[in-house]
Amino acid sequence: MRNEQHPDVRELALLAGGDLPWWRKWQLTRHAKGCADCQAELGALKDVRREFARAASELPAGLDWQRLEFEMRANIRVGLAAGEAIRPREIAGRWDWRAGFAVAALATVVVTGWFLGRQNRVSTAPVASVQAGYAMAQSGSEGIEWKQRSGAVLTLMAPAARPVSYTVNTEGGLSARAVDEAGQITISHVQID
Amino acid sequence: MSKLIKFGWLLAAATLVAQDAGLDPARAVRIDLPKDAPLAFVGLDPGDSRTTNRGGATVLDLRATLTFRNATQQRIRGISLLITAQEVTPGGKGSVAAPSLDVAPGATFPVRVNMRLMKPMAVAGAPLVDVAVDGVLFDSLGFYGPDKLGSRRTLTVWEVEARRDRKHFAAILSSGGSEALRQEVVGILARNDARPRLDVQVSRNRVTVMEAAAPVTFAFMRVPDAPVELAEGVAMVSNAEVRSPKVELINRSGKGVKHVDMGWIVRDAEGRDYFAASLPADVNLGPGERATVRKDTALRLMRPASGAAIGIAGMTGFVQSVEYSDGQVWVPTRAALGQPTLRSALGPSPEEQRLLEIYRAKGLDALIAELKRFQ
Repeated sequence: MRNEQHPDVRELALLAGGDLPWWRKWQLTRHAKGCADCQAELGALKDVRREFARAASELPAGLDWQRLEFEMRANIRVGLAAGEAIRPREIAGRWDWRAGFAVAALATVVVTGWFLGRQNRVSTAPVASVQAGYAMAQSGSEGIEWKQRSGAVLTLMAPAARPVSYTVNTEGGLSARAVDEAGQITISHVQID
Repeated sequence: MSKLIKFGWLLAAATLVAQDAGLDPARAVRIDLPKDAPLAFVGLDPGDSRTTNRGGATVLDLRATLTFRNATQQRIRGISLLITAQEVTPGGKGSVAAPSLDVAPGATFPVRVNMRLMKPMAVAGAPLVDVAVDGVLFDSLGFYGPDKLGSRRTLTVWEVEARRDRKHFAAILSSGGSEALRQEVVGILARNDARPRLDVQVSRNRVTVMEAAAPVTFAFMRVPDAPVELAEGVAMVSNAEVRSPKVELINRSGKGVKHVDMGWIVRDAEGRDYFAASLPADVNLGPGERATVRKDTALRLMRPASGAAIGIAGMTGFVQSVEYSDGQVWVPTRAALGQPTLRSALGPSPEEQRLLEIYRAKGLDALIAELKRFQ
């Protein structure tokens, strides 16, 4: 990999967290060794990760990170709309350090939300499950996971980073409901016979 | 180059080939649309979908958008897709439904299907997932589809609830203006945030050694105008779970009833009410007739995060929806849902959730515009 073909920052974040497949990990590590920019980025991501781990240890248990991320995004949207409404009109093209700061802050919040949401996806415990004989469906970190004795697993996935509500019925039905970014509500359902 | 290094390069190359030897995601999905369907299949956008081989398994990561065209002269209000994955079929059915649509005749609309299938290595070229239309609901509440999943009833209930909820919000807007609507929406959002939640595990047809359990009778909530009355009911309750509910129903309407969906609320020792589960029942009740519904089901109810069992101090049942023999449905009014127990324990309907999301994401003006779009 040549230095001018820098890896995506998301891949670097995965590398920092040790979550890349071994081949890709080897490729990126090799690239980073010869690329000062990526090395610096990787170092920063590792620092952030350590900082998150430290901060997370001080937070109360049971925090819903996915919901928190959603709240942050919604609040940012409302805040930006409000800010736009009261913003004095300026000459086009003029650079303002405040704009740069706002963009940087927004990017930090989004990356943080994504990062924390991703952590949450690994650790979320099932909140609903249905079982009949060997068949089982349960809420997972990404939607409804439907497991079979054969080893096959079908996951009906909910829109990423959106609040999902789960309901069950006594007939062995499990539903997941979420509104996607386009505003369409989708209801996934698994019925265990 | 030593033999060992050569072998390493060969191994790495082989691994790369194995990782990239996935099936074409678009070909891994088969769309089954009958010729008489009121929809035309326009296309499948695979988006970021991909298939990969990991060890001895094939992983289909499908992030697809299916586009359909309304081929009828009626507006479409909802669609339900039956999802069948090879080797996952035994033991159940899966579906993805999109209610609260408003698709004009001739218009196209997307349905997003996001799923991941992990299964033993697939045969090249064979589809991994079948997607079929199980039902389409129209503005007239007319229905098309094989209805293998009970989509007719489900889509109709969602649509009737949606009309009720839009009417409720529109009435507030009309009588009290935008500020009154905002207060109503903010109130609902606050209640939703404060609504206590439980982790629920449902086990069906389970033979188990039970810890000591005692019969607890249901208290039933009177829902005005409900065509079915819940007369009496009991379930076996222990500290950790509740099982084998039995409920007696009476058809108080002048029409035959073929399906009743009951809501099941449990109360803990601190007096907090939680919505535990729905209790659906296929019945065949003529006017004035009674029937007893028994479920061989156990519910384990736990507090989120801690996983501790809640001590069940009481149970309440209520009628969530009724399907008459002629296919029409009944749902409770907004006034009935305003009873304190229901108000605190019940979550929003799908349409209410959609409208609340519009408010959260885009603001009050967007919500008002959406309400007006349906008027």
